[in-house]
Amino acid sequence: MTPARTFGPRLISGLAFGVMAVFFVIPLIFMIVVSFYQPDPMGFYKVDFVWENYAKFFSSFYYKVSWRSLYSAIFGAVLVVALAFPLVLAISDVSRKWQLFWIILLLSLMCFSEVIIGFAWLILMSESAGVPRFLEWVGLWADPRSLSPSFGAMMIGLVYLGFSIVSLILYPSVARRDRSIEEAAVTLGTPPAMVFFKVLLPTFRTSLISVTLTMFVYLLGVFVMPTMLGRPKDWTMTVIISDKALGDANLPLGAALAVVMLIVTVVVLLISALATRGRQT
Amino acid sequence: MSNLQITNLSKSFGNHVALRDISIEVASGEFICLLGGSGCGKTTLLRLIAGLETHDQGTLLLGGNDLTPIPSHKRNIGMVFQSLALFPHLNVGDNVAYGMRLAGVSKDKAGPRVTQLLDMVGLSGLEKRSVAALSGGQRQRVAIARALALKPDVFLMDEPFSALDAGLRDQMQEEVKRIQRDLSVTTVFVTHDQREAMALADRIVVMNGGIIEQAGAPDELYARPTSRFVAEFIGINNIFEVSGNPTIAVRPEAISLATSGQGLSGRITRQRRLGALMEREILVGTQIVHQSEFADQGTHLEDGAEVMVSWSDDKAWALPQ
Repeated sequence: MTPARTFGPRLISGLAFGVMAVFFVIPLIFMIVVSFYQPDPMGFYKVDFVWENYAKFFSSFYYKVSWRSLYSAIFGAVLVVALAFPLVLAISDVSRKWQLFWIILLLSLMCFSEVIIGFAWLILMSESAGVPRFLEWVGLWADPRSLSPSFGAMMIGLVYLGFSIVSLILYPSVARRDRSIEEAAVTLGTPPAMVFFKVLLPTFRTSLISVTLTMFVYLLGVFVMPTMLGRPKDWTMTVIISDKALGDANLPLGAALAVVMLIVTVVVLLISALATRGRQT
Repeated sequence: MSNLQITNLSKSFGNHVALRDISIEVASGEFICLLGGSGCGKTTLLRLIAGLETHDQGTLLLGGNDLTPIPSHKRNIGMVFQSLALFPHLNVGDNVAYGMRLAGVSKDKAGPRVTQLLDMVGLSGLEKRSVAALSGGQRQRVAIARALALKPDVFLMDEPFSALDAGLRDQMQEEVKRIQRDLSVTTVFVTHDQREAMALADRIVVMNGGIIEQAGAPDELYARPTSRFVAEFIGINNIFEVSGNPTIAVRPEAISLATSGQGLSGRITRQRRLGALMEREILVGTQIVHQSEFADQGTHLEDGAEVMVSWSDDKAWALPQ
């Protein structure tokens, strides 16, 4: 191999490592270091080495918030995948032209900023307009109230955010799947309505689990939807962290909470990875 | 008895007519091959029998019962797909047992049957193996065992061996023939390979453009093709158009070459030795004549040699235009 041919790829991977280091590893290290500093009400922090910030996490409030964050993200992720997978299957069965239409639609949904989406849902779920009014009009709700803020409204926001991403991740493998596997199941006596559960769900199990985990990590970090559509008691750790770090100017506590969430996320991902690997062999 | 009666079957996809008025009867226990190029309708016919597509017109009777109102999952057919379509999430044993377990057979009762089926296809003891860990030939065998597990009334195969290398394909063809004979199951096998059809079928159905060109035993088809298409498809590629007369067909092995004497004068443009056989192409006028003979029995001829091409009249026959 000539030096000229190895230099290019090495330069590119070196650049990638450099970008990773500058934008990810260095801030992470900085965050870990800060999490051991003393909070200073007058400034951001005092250089020190204390466990105090971590001790605060185990007070009931933060403990409860982190559980809430976990189950909101898990529930949201499962919900998104449960809705997107059947839709992607349906899209993959329509004509080429319509498939393209749906893919462009899903892509275009990703263009909107989180804030705009949040506002749109706020209006849709408000008392004076949107869904409650519509339900009153069709006679299903005699006394319409605003549907947000609520846990349900926050979930709708999270599902909306994740829906396009999950659909677009799943689409290529779903569209390329070997459809004769489904036909084989039918010729072996599977009623068409059962093919989804007997064949499609099991064959896509691994990709569904991995996309659910991706969504879980993504939803754990969502900030705007909980603040706009959720009640304070629905707020996730992301909201609390920015509240502490920026609102109370307590950067060390925010950093410690972030480190704990990072560890929890990694543990959840490791457990799922080990569980899937164990069942595959 | 599970004889298959297909009468005036037609099927279109939009503007494209896939099958035009197809009629054929398959006797119980008979092995037929649907032979034709791509787009000839052979796979469509197979899928209509399986119930994976619905026909527009005609009737489809299996053992005297009309299949039309019966959905695919209730037809009791065994089908091997071109891609094999093994369930990737199930091991070998569970793939084979799938249909039985679905029909409510208990795991204990399905077990011995799975063992028996895997013995039949030569995969004894591989029940627990993941299908991803199998070789190409082994995967074929699992697909065959799975399709035959429910003792189907009709066994359908859609070009199952097209992805195998030549040696393995020969071996699988022999095994399929043996299994089919042992079970005497009515079988419809789709292929585009005339050699495969010749090796397997009791009867070959040559299809072209959605119609049946000719159906008959392999020998019969080879000896007396009734159309130019069949003759060419079956490998008889010397077809001479004689003005005012019917078209004359001569098989490559019936052509004799001589350096002098009577016949059509031509020049050898290409020759290659394929094992025991020597295949030659001779340019006669503007037409290429194909000739083949046992390499050790013919005369040695150089490339470009001028030769006289002839055949005896009893080896040639007339094709309708």
